[in-house]
Amino acid sequence: MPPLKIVDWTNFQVALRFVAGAFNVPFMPCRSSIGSDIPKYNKEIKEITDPYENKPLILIPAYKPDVAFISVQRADWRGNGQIWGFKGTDYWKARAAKYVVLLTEELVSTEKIYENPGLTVIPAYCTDAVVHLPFNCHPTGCFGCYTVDSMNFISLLLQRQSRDGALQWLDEWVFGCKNHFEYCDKLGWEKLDRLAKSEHKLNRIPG
Amino acid sequence: MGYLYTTREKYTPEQLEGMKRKYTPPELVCCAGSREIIDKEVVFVGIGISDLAGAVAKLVHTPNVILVAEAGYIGFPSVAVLISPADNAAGKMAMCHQSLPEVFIDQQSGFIDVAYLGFAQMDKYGNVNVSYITGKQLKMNGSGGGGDIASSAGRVVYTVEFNPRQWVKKVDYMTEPGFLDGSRDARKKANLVGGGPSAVATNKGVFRFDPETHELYLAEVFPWQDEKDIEEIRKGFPWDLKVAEELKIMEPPTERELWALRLMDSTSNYILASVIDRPIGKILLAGKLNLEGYDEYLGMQEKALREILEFVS
Repeated sequence: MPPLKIVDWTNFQVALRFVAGAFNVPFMPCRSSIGSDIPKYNKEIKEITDPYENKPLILIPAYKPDVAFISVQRADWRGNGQIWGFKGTDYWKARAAKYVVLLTEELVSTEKIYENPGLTVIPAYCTDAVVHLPFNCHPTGCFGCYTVDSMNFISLLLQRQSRDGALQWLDEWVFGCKNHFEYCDKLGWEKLDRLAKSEHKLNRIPG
Repeated sequence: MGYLYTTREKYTPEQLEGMKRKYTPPELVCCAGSREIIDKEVVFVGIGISDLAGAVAKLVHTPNVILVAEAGYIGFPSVAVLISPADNAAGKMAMCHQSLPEVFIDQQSGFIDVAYLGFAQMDKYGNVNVSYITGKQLKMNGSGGGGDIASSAGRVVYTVEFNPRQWVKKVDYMTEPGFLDGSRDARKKANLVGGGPSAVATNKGVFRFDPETHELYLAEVFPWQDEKDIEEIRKGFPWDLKVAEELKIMEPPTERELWALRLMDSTSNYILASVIDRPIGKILLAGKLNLEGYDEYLGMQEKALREILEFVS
């Protein structure tokens, strides 16, 4: 594998890469970070004088990932994905990527999707596969389903501070589990349920 | 802005001495930062300290502000400190659940009046580095959305704990444009939308930028900071820091502000500096990475949530 290369973008610029990919155009313009060092060191960002107003403008190249794995709260077997809460860049990614895999907390019938069509932000034609995978965001949270697992987070952050600790963590929690359900078994379902209970005091997906 | 003013004479020397040790640096930063907002403004909050200041503003000083979190939550009452821009707590009773590009598009269109950010290095003209330190040796977690916010938000309030090492003649890497070279129209010439940095709220006072020269100066201090302390602050700068002719004396953190802070950061992850002092550190050190530990930790958050929901609803 080639060594990791670090390239700096702002969050809006990374989002615009997916937007441009979804638009099927080579770039999107923006006004973020003009005059800063980000466009100076990141040669993929072009600074131009825009042909309409003759002012500085920044161009962000499109990005079309091979595969996007997108976590949704609810999907049907056809691949309609419904998201509650913030959408991040999810539905742009679903359109920019060549292949899309939905990881869903709940697999429902299409009739259930028809009840709230406004929540379907990823229509079936974007999707190539659907995997029913509860608690797939752990140790982060999922809106309306379960809260972030800070206990696990902090302990793994402490463990991952050294290279040895990080490798040990990978061996134990990633390579040591055959699949996601073994990971959940190892963690303990009662803890996952506790996280769900805590989130339901904040937000809940209507039944 | 910064309307909680007092005079030193209001306090006896004993009171001042007592106050000096009463508050933790993050408490001072958040309270000073929370006073920078005008009611009904649209406020972009970050995470941790840069969210706490906005939360205190919303709960205590300016109840009609519209809070915005980067991942897409808009108009939430602030029920807990955000540990990430996608924190589920920001979704509770929000008036809009959006996506990330839309939030930044709205910002580039000028809808965001003020934003809170932190920083690692800043120069005289408010240019900020959150990407690399020691040349390009050590990577930090910038830019995040900071580069966009500093470019396009109406104004930016920085909230940081004071550290002399953070002030530099020239930033190692300019992640967030401030007033660039400090010249009059620098930001306009660069075609940046926002107005640039307006204040740096720290535990050693509030710094602002001269409207003409765009140079950073010390504008406000807490009542216990005397002339000697101010000289000490100035020594931390690699340039001759200017001090306002009429230096304002801020009120110390109020009871109401501290109440909001404690409820927001119910597990003291931001108010306490060291992990082992925090409840989560104590639970983990006791070896309770089990259901009992989860109950204890989540229970603290849930208890604070009940109290805050009663207040906001």
